[in-house]
Amino acid sequence: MKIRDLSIEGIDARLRADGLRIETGPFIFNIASRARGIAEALHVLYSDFRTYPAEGFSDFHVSVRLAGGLRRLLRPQSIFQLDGITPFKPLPGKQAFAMLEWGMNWCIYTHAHQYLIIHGAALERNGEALVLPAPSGSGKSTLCAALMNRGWRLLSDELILIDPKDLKLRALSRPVSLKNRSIDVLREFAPDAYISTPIRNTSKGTVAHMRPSRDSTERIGEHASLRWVVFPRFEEKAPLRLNAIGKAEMFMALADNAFNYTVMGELGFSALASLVDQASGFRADYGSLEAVITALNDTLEPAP
Amino acid sequence: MNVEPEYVIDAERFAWRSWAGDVVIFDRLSGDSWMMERPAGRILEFIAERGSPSFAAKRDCAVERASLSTESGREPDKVLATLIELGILIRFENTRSVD
Repeated sequence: MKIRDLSIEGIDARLRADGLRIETGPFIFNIASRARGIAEALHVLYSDFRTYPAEGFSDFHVSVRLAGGLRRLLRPQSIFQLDGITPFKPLPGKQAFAMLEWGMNWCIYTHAHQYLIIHGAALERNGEALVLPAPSGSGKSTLCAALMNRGWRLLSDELILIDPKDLKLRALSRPVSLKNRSIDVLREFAPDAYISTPIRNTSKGTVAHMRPSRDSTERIGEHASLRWVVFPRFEEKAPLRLNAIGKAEMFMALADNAFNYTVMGELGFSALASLVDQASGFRADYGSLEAVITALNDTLEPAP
Repeated sequence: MNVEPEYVIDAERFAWRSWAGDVVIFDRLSGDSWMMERPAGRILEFIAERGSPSFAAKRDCAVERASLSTESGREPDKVLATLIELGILIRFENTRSVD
């Protein structure tokens, strides 16, 4: 069953009872919530994801609950929990869905050390993966969302998952997090894509989420081989610069952007070195989405 | 008889990968990784790939030593000393003669 097969009321009922189980690539989340807006957001942003009955194994049991007491009436707050533990301070009630998304990311990158996890976006074309490793604010999500709307399959917007055993990338394909000006940029760039109502005044500014393409969620079980690594940097009106980089530089930049490279020890080193062997690396400074996408499509040749 | 020291990488502690003279080294003890660009990296690569008997006399390595001096202004022996100080290289005296 897909999330779209449930009504908003049906989703809400599950969230309030034993939890809504959603399969997001290699992980199953059991989500419980009484916070406003969660059911509606899941209904549209996760519409193509599989859901299962509440009984059964889940990798993560998470919840977004409302803070109790008088504050609940005066100034509602949302609390994220994993297995009943509260790892973060509450956020304003209107930020409940953003908190859920951030919390789900946190669950993965603090626990899923069977994967090498790199901070960045990943997309696939003809079985070959393009990754965009970068910290927040570099324009990677903007570029990722734009590429998803130009024929690339989304693997992940935030967490690049690599299995060190077979060096394949695993797809998460959850909603793409857009911030501040990129929201309007993407509305104009991809007018047919669904973008949620912006949530204002978060710690990251104004945040909205783009629904992953149906192809991305339908093929979420398909792995991909790393082929290209592009380190993006957006600068307003900057001329396009797309420069190849050496393997060792690529290695160190990937390690710098990894969440758990040091946790994995030599396994992480070996995996990353092998990945670098098979990939071509670039730095892309850009000020125009159309220009950088054209350049990437021209430059990123498929494997012979 | 001209006697040259030999250098070997401490392979029990360090893992490494090299790409065209740029080397990334992994320290199993600390968990740290770092990069050494050529030409200094090329010298390490040379030692890693071919071993270092009569290191200083090998033609390719001699070229890299000269390149290191020219490109970076760094003395090859100082680079080697740094690598020894970091524990990456182990130096021992060769008892064999060098051509």
